[in-house]
Amino acid sequence: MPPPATDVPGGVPPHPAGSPRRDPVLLLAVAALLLALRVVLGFHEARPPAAPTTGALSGADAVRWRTLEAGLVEARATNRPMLYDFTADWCPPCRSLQRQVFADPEAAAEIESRFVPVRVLDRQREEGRNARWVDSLQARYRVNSFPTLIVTDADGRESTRIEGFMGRDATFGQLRGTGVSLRWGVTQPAPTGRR
Amino acid sequence: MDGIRIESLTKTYRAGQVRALDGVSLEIAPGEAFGIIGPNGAGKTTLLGCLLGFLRPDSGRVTIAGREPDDLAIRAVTGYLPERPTLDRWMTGLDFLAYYHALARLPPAGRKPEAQAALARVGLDPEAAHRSIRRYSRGMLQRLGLAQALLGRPRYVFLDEPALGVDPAGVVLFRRLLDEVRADGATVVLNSHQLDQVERVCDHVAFVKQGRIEARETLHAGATLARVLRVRGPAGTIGDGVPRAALELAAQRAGAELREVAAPLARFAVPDDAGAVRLVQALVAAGVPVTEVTPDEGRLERLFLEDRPKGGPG
Amino acid sequence: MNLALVLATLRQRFTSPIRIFIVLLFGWMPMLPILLAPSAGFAALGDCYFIALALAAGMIGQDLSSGILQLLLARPVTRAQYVFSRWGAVAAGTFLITVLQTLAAALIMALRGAPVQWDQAALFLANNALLALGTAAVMALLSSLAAGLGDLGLLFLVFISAQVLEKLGMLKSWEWLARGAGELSRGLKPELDLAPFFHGGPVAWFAVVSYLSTVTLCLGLAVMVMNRRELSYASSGN
Repeated sequence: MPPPATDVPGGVPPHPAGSPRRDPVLLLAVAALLLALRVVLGFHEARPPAAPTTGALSGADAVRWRTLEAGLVEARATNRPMLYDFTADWCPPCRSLQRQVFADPEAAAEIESRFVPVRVLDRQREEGRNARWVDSLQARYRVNSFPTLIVTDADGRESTRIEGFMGRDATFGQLRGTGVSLRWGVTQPAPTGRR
Repeated sequence: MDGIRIESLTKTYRAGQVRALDGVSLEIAPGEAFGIIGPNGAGKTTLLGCLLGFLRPDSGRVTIAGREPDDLAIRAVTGYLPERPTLDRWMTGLDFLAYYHALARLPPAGRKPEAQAALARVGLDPEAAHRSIRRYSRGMLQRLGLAQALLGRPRYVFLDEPALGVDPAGVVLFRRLLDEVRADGATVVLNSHQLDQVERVCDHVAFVKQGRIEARETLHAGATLARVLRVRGPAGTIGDGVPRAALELAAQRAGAELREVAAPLARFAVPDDAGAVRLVQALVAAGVPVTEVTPDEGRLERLFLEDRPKGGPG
Repeated sequence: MNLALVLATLRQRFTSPIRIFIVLLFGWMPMLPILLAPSAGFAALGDCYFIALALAAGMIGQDLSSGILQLLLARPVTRAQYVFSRWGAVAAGTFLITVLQTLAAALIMALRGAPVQWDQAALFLANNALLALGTAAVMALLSSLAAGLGDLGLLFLVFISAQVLEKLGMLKSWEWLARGAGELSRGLKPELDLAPFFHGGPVAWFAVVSYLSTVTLCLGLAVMVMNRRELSYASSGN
């Protein structure tokens, strides 16, 4: 038998009592605080690198880009995968990638430790044509938008592909192999008439 | 005060364009059974919504035992059956009652037996306990809904059209359950179009029309509600062999009014129950053969049919 | 959180044929890469995002439009308890499926003779637990704003809008628009990589704060919305 509900004078038990529509003040305060912190840290993350840049992507690189030949040799010798950065000077998300990843010492250090980085710069727009090795690599890895990061083994077999820039964390998630392959990042399509 | 108090409740929709409730005030004493009746669109559902704390009035106040209507302490002793309830269809009847037993914070030790007892109390087959609710008929849903509303001896019971879709046997059962609930001291608020049910169960009734309480009536013995009676005699008497003057005289003596004579019936307006008794006595004393005396229409139906002055007793 | 609500939510989700179908689809599809290349590791399982969406869709909105909420909230249950219970149940259900996936993948790997890296599995589970909690929080807010399955529609709408705004910001070099819109679209899938905590390495504090901010904000706002919601009757007339 349920206990009688009118034990208490007045007929209504005192507990539990109160409004069922109380706002979670503590949670909201924590959320507000975290949001403020997020904004502050976001500004901090987005600040330009300390050193001045003389071109869209040049300068202030913390990553030491290898030439293709040197990179291949180094990859085989140290048994590290290659990281190709297919990029272009005129591409805004490429600039974000440059600023947040390649120009950042911490991020660059991680890249250097895991990969052999080679930059494949598209000059089609500026010069009307590319060097043959650039065209050849773009064709081999079916690159048709920028930025595209491709991780391969020393024999050139593609293992990871990141199209577009989804933020530093997503990029590293992919590079470390714990993220999902995302294909809806912000990209710029490569100019046509290349092939 | 343990009862329900409604003070000058106003509720509008669509930025004030629709005035669903317009200054409604009521007091429902603890242990009372209170009926709310009225035409469609009168504001009864809105009133019930405000009573349950689901709707926020624009102005005015609702308190139950001096607290907000949705105060957790009130919720703990409230039972509610909405109109045409939507129940958790993927559950069995027994699981559903056990679930609401848990939500009502009732002691887990008695959960299963009380759920089973609740099912039996509303006349649901034991077999229905293990049937999925999606296979329940409308009548079974209403019974299950009522079983849910009556879990754990609630002190405040709100019922919105509880007998909708229920067969006559079920209606009788519901009435008996409501009598039990009332006998237990619970306050019952019943919103229903089934006027005979309201009349039988409730102590008081409010007639709501266009957001206002147009009339408030007391329903049980000694009620002062004026009504019309139909008196029937054997063939060849009333309206034929019995002169009209005799009927008028009997009515006059009883303080009633002869409205109409149409063989074999005569219609009399009486002021109250006592007046009805006097009329019958007067007719018999005058030698009028009477075989049947019935209400011309339900007491409450009259409220729907008569034109009432706007802003009536409120 | 209310245990009865949590259990009822889990039962409801796992007895819905459509949800089961979607969960099975997204639960078993990732087994294919594992079957074909067992050495690919647990990362090949992908994440639990679509499973979380399948379980979360309509988590509050359907109760609102069906009228069940009137019955439920006539009981001594706070609206906050209701929101947190739905959130917790959806996240727990999603995580449960991820655990089953992981175990199945480990079994396949073992049978195929590939090494089973349990530290990788632990990281995979931990990351997916956070994704489950985060996705459920976002859907709790969206579902509190939209009836029925409108939360999915809202999700799609916000995502598309954020993508458009981000691209616009990129094109016009309006950095803060691009950045803000990017944050919004990333916030729809709140995830956090716990690898630095497992393996050492630099901790992306911005990512940690972003994740926690999204989850707390969504839950807090969802409760606020529900606290202010009027429950009008589903029935007509009166």
